[in-house]
Amino acid sequence: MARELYPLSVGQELQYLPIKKTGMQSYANICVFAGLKAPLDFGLLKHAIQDEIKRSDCLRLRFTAPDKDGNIKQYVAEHDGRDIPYIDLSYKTMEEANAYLQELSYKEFVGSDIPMVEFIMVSLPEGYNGTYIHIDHRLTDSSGLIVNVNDTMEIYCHYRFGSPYPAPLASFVDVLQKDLKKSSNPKRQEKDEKFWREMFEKDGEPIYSDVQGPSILQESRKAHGDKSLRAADLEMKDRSLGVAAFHLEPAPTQAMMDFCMNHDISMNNLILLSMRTYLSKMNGGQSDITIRNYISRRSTHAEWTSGGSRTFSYPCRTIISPDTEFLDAAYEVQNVQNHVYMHSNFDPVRVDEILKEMFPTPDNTTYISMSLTYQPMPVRMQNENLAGYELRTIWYPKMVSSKKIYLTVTHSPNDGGLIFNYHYQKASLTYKDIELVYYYMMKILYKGLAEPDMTIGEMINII
Amino acid sequence: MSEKQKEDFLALVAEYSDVEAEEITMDMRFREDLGFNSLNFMTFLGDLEDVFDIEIDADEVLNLSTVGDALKNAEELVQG
Repeated sequence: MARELYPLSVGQELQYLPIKKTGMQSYANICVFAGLKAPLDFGLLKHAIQDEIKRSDCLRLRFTAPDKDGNIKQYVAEHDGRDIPYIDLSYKTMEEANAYLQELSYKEFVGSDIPMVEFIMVSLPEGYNGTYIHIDHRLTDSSGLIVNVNDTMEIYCHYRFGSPYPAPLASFVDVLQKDLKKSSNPKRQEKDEKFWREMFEKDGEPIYSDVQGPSILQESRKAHGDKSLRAADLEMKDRSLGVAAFHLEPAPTQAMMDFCMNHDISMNNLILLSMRTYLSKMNGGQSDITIRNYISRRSTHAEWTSGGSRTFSYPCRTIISPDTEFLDAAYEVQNVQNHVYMHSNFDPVRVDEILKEMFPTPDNTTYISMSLTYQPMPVRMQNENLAGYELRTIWYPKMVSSKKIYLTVTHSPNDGGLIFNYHYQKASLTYKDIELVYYYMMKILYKGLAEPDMTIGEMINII
Repeated sequence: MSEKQKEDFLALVAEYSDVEAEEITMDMRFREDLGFNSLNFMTFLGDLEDVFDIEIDADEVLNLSTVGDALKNAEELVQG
């Protein structure tokens, strides 16, 4: 039977773009270890993972060889009955074990018509047991992967403890077809394009802001001999990546959640506000700040469980006067984001192209130094039979980052606190710099939560 | 709005919610009763535009709270 071939969705094309440019598939790797501080029956876990591969179409996605223009198509392989290997790293130190798995995460899936995911059952030091997953981003994103991890553990609990078998997952192909239909709807495209153009027309050209202050933009102005340049140079030579992670305790996290609930503000927008206020502080009170915000675009049930690479990012540009009270500023951020959400099927690359058409800037320059992903769903393993066991999720970063600072905020699976995970370019920033970013973001949040009627200007002066 | 369009409207709401289309009532609130967040609500509005070929003014509809309010708004736009 001829296999059904489908084009890539816009989200998948975004992930394919760097591969197409560089020929390196590893640009699209996502790698995670998810496990428990508990003994596991690896025979049953293997069975659960194999079930998950059968249940979740996206895990069986394969790609054809590129055509003469470098374009590829995808299809869902009917069967993938691979063995799932096990490795014992428990005799190593945690640092050594992580280094081993980190090294695996650089590995490439080379070739066409092959599986683009690998599962390895792992025993880590300190009694952690679980699964390491190495997957191509075109198959899924971090939210989708978390759904797979949680689902696999539900299946494991079914085999191990007799708990109910989880409900079926949505069809990847059905959701893909809806996405393809939306992205080829000319009326939709026209509306989305109009929205972005009007937004940039209304507010004019954005301006760069940096955690290191206005000197960064000044350097670019000097380099390009243009005193009015509003975009700064991207780091193109050394994109090596550093990681700084901070844990916010459950009590302040709960205070943030209460504030969001009481004032009908989303956590994502509250964090964006703290980032933009810090950038404003570091740039002499600059009121016009743009941050890149990532949206998981999983709204319907089918979108939640179908897998697929659904994360898009758009500029979140807010112009907030210093007289604005903290709470009102949060509503201003939320208002901008709500409008963006309505157009969140639009190709983000096209948004950047529109900006460039409207405000021609030198190549490899940007208005944005900070990016945010807020991930509301943690790896949970909610089954009552696993209650009380400590969870561990380790995301293995890529070697390089195209963004100066990329913050991912997740909920800790163990204590309900928040984890602020910063990836930063080591060429211009140190761990100490990022520690300061986190410190000030927290100061802004604490102050804003305690005194929501304090103006942004006052806050910038006193923190 | 025809009966078929109303059915399509409710089916679309149900895609975003834990509640089946036939159990959705006009007084149900998107956030409190159907579990919508702002991303869900705004993408739902985008879908509504595509399904009914209408143009929704986001500023006008941000404060719609019930299914009945949203249906009424969509009906008015469909009728032009």
